[in-house]
Amino acid sequence: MMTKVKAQGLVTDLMPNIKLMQAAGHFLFNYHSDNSGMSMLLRKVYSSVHAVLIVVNYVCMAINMAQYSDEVNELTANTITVLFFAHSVIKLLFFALNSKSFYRTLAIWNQSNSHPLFTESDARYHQLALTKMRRLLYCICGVTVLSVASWVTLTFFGESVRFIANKETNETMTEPAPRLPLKAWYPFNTMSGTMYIAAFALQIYWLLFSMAIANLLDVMFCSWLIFACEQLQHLKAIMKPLMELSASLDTYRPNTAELFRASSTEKSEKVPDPVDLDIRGIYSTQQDFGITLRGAGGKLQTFGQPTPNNPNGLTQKQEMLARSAIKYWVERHKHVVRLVASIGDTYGTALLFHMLISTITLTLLAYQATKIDGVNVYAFSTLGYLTYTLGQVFHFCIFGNRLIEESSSVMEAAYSCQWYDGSEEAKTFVQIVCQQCQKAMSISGAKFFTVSLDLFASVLGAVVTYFMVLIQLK
Amino acid sequence: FIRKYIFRKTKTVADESTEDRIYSLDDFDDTLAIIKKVLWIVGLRLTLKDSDNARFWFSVFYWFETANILMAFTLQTMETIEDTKGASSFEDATTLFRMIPCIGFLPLAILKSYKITYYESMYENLINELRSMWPQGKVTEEEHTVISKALKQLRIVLKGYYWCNYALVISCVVPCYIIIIKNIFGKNEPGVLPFLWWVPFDPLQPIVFEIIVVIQTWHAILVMSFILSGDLLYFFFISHITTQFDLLSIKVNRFILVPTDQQLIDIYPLAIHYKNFKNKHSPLELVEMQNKKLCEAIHEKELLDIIVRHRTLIRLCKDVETIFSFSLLVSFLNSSVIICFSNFCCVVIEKWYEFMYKSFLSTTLCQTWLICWYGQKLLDSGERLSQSLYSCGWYWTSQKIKKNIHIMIHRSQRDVCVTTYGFTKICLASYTAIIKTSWSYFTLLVQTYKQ
Repeated sequence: MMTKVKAQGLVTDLMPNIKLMQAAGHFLFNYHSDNSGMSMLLRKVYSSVHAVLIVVNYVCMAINMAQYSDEVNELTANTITVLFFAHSVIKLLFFALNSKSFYRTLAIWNQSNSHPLFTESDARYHQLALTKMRRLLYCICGVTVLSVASWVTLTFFGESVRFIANKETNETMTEPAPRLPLKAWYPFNTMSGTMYIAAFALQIYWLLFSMAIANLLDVMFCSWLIFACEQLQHLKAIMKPLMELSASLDTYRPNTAELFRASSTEKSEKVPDPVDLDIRGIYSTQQDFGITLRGAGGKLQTFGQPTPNNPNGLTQKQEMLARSAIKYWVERHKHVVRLVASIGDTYGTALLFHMLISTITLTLLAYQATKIDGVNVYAFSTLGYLTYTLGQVFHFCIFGNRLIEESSSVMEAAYSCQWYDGSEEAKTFVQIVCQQCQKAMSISGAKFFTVSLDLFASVLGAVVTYFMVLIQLK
Repeated sequence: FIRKYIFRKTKTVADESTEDRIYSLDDFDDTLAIIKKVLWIVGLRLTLKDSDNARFWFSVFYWFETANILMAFTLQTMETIEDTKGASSFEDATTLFRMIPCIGFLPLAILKSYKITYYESMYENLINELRSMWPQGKVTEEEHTVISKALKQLRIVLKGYYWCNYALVISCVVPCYIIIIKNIFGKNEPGVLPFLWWVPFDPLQPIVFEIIVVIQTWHAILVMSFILSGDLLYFFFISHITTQFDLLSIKVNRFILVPTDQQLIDIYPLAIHYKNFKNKHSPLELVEMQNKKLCEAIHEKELLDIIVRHRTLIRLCKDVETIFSFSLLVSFLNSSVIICFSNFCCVVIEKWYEFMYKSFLSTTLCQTWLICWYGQKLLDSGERLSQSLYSCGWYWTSQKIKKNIHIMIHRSQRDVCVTTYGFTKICLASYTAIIKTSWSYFTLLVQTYKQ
């Protein structure tokens, strides 16, 4: 659906990322300010041209790999490169096919609930999330540009050759190859001249755009996780004032006026907007009074007329605010759970493919690493591939891990506030919240594995083990 | 047919959904139909009332079939042992690899069907209880989505699995019949038996050969039916238990009403339930719902129904576990051995254009995946129930209801699943474990072969 959507919520926060993705050629056609047919067509043409160029060059690389598959070293090196850039092609395709799911996740936080006493905390953590997301985006953009620059620089060092197996003597010979960043088959001769420069320029463009495509999608995923984590931080932060509020309803506490300071200034405009004023007014106060009136032995009582009956002399509006705080907390937490579930549904399969391809790439890289014999181009390129691939896996593992930690630490926050002073209602609230938050929220790769630092450790451990075994076998 | 199709396309969405949303016990019985067909071949009479005489003869039939399979198993094992003794090089041992998958299936078949006879009352109880829980009459939109999706999946899986197994048996056996037909038309080709048996006489004599081929075909169909009966019943039970869990989750989501305000904005799911309630009921009823005592009484009664149903479903899962866990363990062991050996044969022995081992490998992979996928569905539906217990409006009820819900959340967070006799839970993660183990055995075999 390409209707004009007013930018709000997550879309506003992620706008730089979205704009960069649109520039890199992803099939992202929403969130433009101008939705006329002509510009839409132009954008589609732009994305399609990028897609065609990327796929065509990828296929050329694959043809090159098939051409020179006799010699083992050449084959391994070419396979690693092909697998390395498979991420970009897969992510481009994945986004094109799954864009509805992405739009749905981006639209989940378009509207969120609010409570007069907690708007300041909400805004603060939202700002924190925004800062972190921007910082992540700049960092990854910097890394991408640096990688492309170092790749191009490395092309100019070392011999530009390829290995051929001599069929008669069964030994490897070298044959001169064009000095290009990537080994690919082109229908024209690229050894020298204008064709060489054209191929070089094409490859620089290709390197930059394909890395950008893969990395920007990962950045979007991690930004979502950052947002979810900051929301959980906000919920943990307001647990303490919530307990104090609840305690103030039943026991005498000094300085209760301060708790309501936020509300006293905005009381006039921040009164909870009722759906149906009369009914709602009676409903909530009657019921709420019925629940938590102490001294009634837990039995419910309804009052003919709401009477403020608390030791701190709170007004009725302040009481309502205190009781609706729990409702705010629980509904906000449920909203975060829905967001995380949607993130998992949207991106889980992409993570599964990423991990599959990375596992194979890392296995081959471990084998290549055993052949390093000095500080030369080969060593640098192998180590470069290795760090980049491990870095990609680390990138989403660390944010997935943070989500797991944040969601399970909500229980600690609930326990460390003064729940023992709270009302019975607050205590049951803490009980159920603790029970629910024992099971941490996590992102899974289509149910096959959980994204956490454990995954990264197991991948790293497997690579190191494989490397050690191969060294021993040599 | 064409008119019905075109007419259906132009119906409005509302019409279509209202008509389709009526369910009856026929839908339930439909899913059981194909299983009953298989059970008839096997000779087991589940949920059918027979006279004592008919029962006796059917059990004789069943034990006769079992004896046949046992005989086939012994003869095949003896032949394999003979071959192994006579094998001089590794190449000869490859015939061994051809037989191992077939030998593996025979005890599995006997085990699966034996479980049905041993636990017959438990099977019948499961079927009857699930039948009594089946929703009848009109259901809501959400429930309809859940039920129709589950029914469609179950139908496709049951039919697909049934026909794929038949196709496998036919592909094993048809080459031999082709040779027989060729021999009738004068070509003198040596006969090839589908399965190698140890027999005290020459099995390739003219008349004896045909008889043995027919007997082996019948055995193959028997073995396949035995295995089918076990697996199809597993899919059937898990699918229906999962559907009931999902229906329970929908009921839990709905049973507490919470009014909308700034803390519960219009787009949240609870607010949508409130809006639907407001649309369906008059404002008078809405005011009634504010009477706290009345509300609590209603909530208590509904929660009691939910708890009783939850306990029943947990008990049914335990029954499924008792019946199926051991046979699933044997099935998984069998599958990992078959995957390992077929993989080896695919890579080392077969050419890239031949398909026998490749089809064997892919069928075993699919079968194991299907079992693990259903186990995962069960796990997921239990987890969805725990999620929906949290996402109902528990904070808007009395202390009593809150405490009940808390205890329910505690129990529902523990996994409800089927295990392989206590070793592992059946889920997609265990599927990856099986693949990894088979892969490591396969690489080991390849290394030994290279030396």
